[in-house]
Amino acid sequence: MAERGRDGSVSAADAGIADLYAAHWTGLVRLAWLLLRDDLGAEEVVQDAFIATHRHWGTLRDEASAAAYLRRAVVNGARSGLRHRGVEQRYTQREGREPGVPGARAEDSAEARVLEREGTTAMIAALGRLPQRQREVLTMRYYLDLSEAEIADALGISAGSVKAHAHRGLASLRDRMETAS
Amino acid sequence: MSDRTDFLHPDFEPGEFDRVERQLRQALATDAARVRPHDRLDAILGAAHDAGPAAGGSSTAGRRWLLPVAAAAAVAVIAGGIWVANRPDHPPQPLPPVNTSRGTAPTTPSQSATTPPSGTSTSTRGTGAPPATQTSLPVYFVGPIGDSKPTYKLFREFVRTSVGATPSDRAKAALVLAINAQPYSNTDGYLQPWSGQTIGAVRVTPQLITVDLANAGNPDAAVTPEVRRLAVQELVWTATAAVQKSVPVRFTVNGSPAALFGTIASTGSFTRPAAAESWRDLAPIWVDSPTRDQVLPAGKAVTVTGQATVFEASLAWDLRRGATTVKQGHTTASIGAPDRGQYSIELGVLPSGTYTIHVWEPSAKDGSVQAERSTSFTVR
Repeated sequence: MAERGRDGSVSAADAGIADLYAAHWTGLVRLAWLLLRDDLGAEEVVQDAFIATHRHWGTLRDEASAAAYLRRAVVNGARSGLRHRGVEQRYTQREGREPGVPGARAEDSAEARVLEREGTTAMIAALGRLPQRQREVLTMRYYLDLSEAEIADALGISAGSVKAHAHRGLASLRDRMETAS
Repeated sequence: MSDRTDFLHPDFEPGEFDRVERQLRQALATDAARVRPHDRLDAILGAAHDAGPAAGGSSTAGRRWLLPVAAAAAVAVIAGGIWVANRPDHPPQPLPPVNTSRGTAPTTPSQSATTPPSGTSTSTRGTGAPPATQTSLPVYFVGPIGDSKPTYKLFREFVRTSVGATPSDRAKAALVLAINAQPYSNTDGYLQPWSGQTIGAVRVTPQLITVDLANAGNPDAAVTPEVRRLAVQELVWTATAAVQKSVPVRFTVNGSPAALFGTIASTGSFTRPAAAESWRDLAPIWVDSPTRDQVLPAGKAVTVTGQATVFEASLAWDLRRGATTVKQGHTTASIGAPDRGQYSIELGVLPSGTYTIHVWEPSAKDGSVQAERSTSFTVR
């Protein structure tokens, strides 16, 4: 019944994916959301990344390389999602539901007030105005706490570039936040 | 443009960005915590099986559904439908998964629809017939929590079935499963409060799910007020899980409001309780993974995961093989009652065999069992 590659059976891939899922699903969906600002799109992107990882299971050495593969797929997916912005429309049509921020619910106004109080809104807005690369680097670093090497791998750039993007991005954010306050 | 000129300068002051780093970290955490991802493990595994391995071409012809039940397995991070305040480390998932439908779907899904219309075996796909849309739906049942009274609450099962493409189809398919607890009654003691019921039309709008029932429910099948309430809630949880929206559910009987079980007026709508009160409906202990009778690969460490609403987040467990207790220990959920926490138990690599994991809440007072849950699985 094993139709999978040399790494073993389908169940091995399933089990591996389940482990990865337990460890990374929520964090990656949130990462994708931070990059895309589209909750259904974010889930789609990460789901596709998991499926791709499952398909390549036989070629992945260990859980660490699987996680790295997964992150690359998520970042690339989020990027093409941003390029096309098609995910949102497609989903809206299919599900007949409204796109937009997560939690279009009753507590939204209270939530919004809290966000405002904490300066979150201003910071997120400032982040949104950064160039894409800087935004990606900062989000991975300060949301997922990834190392420079991990970010470099996910973005397909050098560790030096990661450092540079982080520095430039932080400097811009600081300036904007200081101007704002 | 080279990035090199932008490297952190050697004169860069340590701590120069401390404040903005802290603000950014907090902003991202706060912002991201608003996102409560739905569970999609099942959809991922289903789609991965459809797609096949990368080297195997795109045809799914003859591909088997290798894990018909266990595809829902190892659902590790699901917290069935609980809205909880932002807690980035342990974000419960609002609503359990539903596969995106695929291919031609029967228009009136039902339990018997697990056989594709053409009559091909359910274990094979793409043999020329239009593929049935197979998925695992989260379905809630009323069962005993394992105390001495006994108290009844809701448990969640993932049931593989055939569903149509629309949210209404999914909700109906799940509800059809929910009213038939018979497959679990002998093993888990689930009640059958909806015995004799038939699910009629199910209508889903962004604000409301309307479920039409063939009858108001047999009072003799749900004798206490609490069981009747739970019987209604199991349909609410199941329907909202199926459509992945926590919206109110309204019931009609043959198109009109009626008193469900003769006592619960269906003129209003029914909802899931607020997150902090999920204990009103949900059994204190769920085991999410391994799933019932799942077969796990030998040589790989086994992790048990689940959800619990227990005092001080404290849980005890043992692992039995036949009559022998192989391992035992304690663990804690991510948060204590009244909140619902996640827990996990690392069992390590187990020799081949069939095991039962038994998780319970010991009484702080006398050590008696307040709630428990067991699940059997096989390693080979």
